[in-house]
Amino acid sequence: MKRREFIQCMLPVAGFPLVFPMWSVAKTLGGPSELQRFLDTPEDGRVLVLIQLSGGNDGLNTVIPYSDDLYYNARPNLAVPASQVIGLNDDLGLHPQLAPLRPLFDEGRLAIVQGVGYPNPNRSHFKSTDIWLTASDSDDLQDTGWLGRYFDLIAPPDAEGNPDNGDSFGPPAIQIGLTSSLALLGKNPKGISLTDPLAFYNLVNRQGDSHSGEPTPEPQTPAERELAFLRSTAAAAFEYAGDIRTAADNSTNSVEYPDESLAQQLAIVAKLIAGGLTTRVYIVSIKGFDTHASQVNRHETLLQALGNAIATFQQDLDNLGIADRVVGMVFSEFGRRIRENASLGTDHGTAAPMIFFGNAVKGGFHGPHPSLSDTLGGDLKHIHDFRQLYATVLEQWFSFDSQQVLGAAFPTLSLLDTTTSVKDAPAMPSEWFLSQNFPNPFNPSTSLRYGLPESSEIDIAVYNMLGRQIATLFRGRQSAGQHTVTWDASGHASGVYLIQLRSPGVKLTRTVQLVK
Amino acid sequence: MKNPSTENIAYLRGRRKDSGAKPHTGIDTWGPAQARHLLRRTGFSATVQEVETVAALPRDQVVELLLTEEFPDKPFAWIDEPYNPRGWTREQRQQWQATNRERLRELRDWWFRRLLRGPYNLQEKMLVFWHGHFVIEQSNVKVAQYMYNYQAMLRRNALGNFGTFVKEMYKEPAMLIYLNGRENTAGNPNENFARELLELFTMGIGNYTEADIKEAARALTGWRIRREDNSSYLDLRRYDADQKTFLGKSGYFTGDHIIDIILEQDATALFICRKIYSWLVNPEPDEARVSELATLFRSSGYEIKPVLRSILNSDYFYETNNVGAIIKPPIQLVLDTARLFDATDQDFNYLSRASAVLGQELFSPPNVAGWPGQRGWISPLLLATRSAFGELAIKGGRIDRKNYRGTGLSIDTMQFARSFGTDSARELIDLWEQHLLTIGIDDVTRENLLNLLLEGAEEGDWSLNYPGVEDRVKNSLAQFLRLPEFQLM
Repeated sequence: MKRREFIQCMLPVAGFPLVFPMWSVAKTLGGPSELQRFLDTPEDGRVLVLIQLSGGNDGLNTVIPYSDDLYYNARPNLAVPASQVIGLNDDLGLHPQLAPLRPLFDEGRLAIVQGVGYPNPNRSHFKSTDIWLTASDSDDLQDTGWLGRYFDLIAPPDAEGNPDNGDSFGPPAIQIGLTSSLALLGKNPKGISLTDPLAFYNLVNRQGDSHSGEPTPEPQTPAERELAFLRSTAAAAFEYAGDIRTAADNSTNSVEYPDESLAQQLAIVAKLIAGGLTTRVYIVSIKGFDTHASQVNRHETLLQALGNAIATFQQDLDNLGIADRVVGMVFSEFGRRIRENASLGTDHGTAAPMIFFGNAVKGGFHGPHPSLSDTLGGDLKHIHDFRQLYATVLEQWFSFDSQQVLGAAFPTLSLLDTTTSVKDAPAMPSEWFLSQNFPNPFNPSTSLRYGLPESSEIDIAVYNMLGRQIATLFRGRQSAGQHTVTWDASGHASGVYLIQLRSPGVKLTRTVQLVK
Repeated sequence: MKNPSTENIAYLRGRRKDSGAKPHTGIDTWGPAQARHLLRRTGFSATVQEVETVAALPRDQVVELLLTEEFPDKPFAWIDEPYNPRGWTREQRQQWQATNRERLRELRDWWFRRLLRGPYNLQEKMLVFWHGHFVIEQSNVKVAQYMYNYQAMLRRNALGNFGTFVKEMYKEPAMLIYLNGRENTAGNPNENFARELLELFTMGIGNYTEADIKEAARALTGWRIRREDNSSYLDLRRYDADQKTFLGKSGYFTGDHIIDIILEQDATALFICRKIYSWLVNPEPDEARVSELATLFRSSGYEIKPVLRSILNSDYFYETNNVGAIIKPPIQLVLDTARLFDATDQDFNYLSRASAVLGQELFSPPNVAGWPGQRGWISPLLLATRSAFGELAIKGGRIDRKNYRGTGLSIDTMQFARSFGTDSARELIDLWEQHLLTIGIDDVTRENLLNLLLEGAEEGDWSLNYPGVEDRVKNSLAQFLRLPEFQLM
């Protein structure tokens, strides 16, 4: 079955609200209570970020068995010389372009799960991608995505068929890009895809309530079924666009990201998480890994982009004080052949390493490297089934019975250490920060988070646009770590104000807007 | 101009109010509604005038007109310029890159011009289908000459013989670059092309083994690009002349032999007919009909025209179950909008860019499997952008803000409104519904559209000369184009 076919097999979305829910407009203003609730219940705030490497990443040139002669024999032109490999232990190391990941590995925040694949590997990009995204057996493709099924189970539709998203602030999942991932395909629309939060909001508002007609009866024809799908898509956009914009307005990246697609996608993700969305899953992707020819430069460029993006993202999460809540998972539809081809490239292969990163990750190597001599006709035999990793994430990160999602019990790995993460105190900031206030604009009160790398005397004050101090929010000694301060602006006029945090040698300022 | 028939409105309403009624069979019907459906599916919709003309002809005659081929002269002098970068300086290379970029733009704009040119345009539209089937990507192939030659190869074969088509396709320089055919040599096979040939271009997955891929790759070795004239040739020094075993047959097979064996497989005719049916009739193919078409395809020696003729002259093509079942691809949305409003002299660069913003850029499919189509065209973001495109087409404006160039889509809304020959707002709404939408709308939506058109005026007072009527016309038409119904074909 082809992707095209089973997208069409998607169930009709009967009874989805056809009139746009106007309450969601009011919700777009947000409120401190939402942020507070969110911050107060961190175990609900766990986020999974998927990084998809499209095209089949060459695992052997990503995590390199640099002590193995078989590797060098199989790749006379493509092998990375041992002297250039970033050795992580005596046998294995990273491609030199992944140098930015070395500190994470040393800190125990980067896990490499070796030899991830599945039985009877399929070497078609599309089939293998579908197998991964739907968590299927190689010969029996399921028609929904693994995360789509998870969301169906945690938020089953109510009696009217509407998904019960509770008090959510934002959609269950967000994909950065134009289209929604098959991984999110379920009974109801789960994911919002976007490339820019503000542009998305403006577009959706322009679209407005394009359907103001009667609720449609049960679709009778393919045309009516597709119409119902279009209407539910428009409704989902309308429901979430405000949340997403508010979250984006609400936060700022603490570091500058490289001007490159994957990094820029992750910058948006960091902003949205820090901005308070309750979204659990984010999906970003980078393509071009199908390196059949002239692989060396192309693969280097891709790995450089990947390493820089992850390192910057993690730094941002650390600074923003949300690193405990986020785990990243890097995957590709397959690895590549052990032996290089005649075009200075590699053809489609099988198993490859998966990379996990985050504070909750148990760093280091998980499992042995697949053998380069005991192979599957020149391809790596897998050590781990990718569904074991899905099960691990579902059980250990989302505390959910993975068998319900995966249809079978896949043994989990000891990969995520949730006892020390999340419930612990937020990570110690490595540098000073003052985050954008939430909500903004606000009335009458708003909150800001700030962080100190060391215990210090500080002063947080509010100034009007004439530079006159009108309130002091905190003055005194503050411990190292992350803190929140709230300004109740009752009694002040609408307008723009500056909130400034000062300490010897430190001055951080945020502009806030009071609208009465 | 006389009013278009109103039977279609009655039909649309009838179906809406009684959606459980027996499906419309279309057997005894050939009228404006059917003509509109045919022209939308085989081209990019039609003006009010064109629908009338076509509906007045016998259906089979219209189908023959649609199957007429036309081969334009080479539109640009640079097409025959050899591409030979050997020994270029850095400056020369940079200059070539700028020139090449401009040529690709020219070529794409020219294709859009051809796509928009008239109601009988199936050949040109089939190019888009085949482009999404025998995929190449500009980002990989780069050279504008190769892109034009590839496109000309599609045009030569779009309505021709599928066997000839595949044999020409794999020798095209663009394809030799895109799927590494030119790096596929004796002793060092590169199986990229062979895999996609079987999986995506001819048989479909599940009908061959990994060993068949390897053997096919061997037979396809040795093809290289000839720099002098942008053509290709078989270099025997790189060709694997040994015996191969492919799909159970053994012999000293060449690439053409491999194609011949592929054409002997039932799977091939079924795979291609299923894809044509999905694209032209209904994304959920009726397997019995696909099977009939496949039999016809094989018995005609893989001629494409008989398959298309059979579909377009069938009654099922016009059935309610198939009308409106397809979500318009971006190119369709963009060109439909231009043609429905008779806006033919266009800023083709905008049309091409708008289609790209909506997810379909000619010469740049997302990957070797082509555009996924149907619900793959839609996400909350893309749907909102489509809706913005429709609104801006009526009110003036573009959905691509970057690198602003040209005028955007320019539609004369008042001329369009007057072409229906009535001053009744209610009648106009009914006629616009019939002309613009594939499936009917409900009464509440229709009243909303009418209210936008009247905007406070009494129905009896309203006319196309009413003060401030142009804004009212635009508001109502913009709302028509924002309806989810407008996304269906």
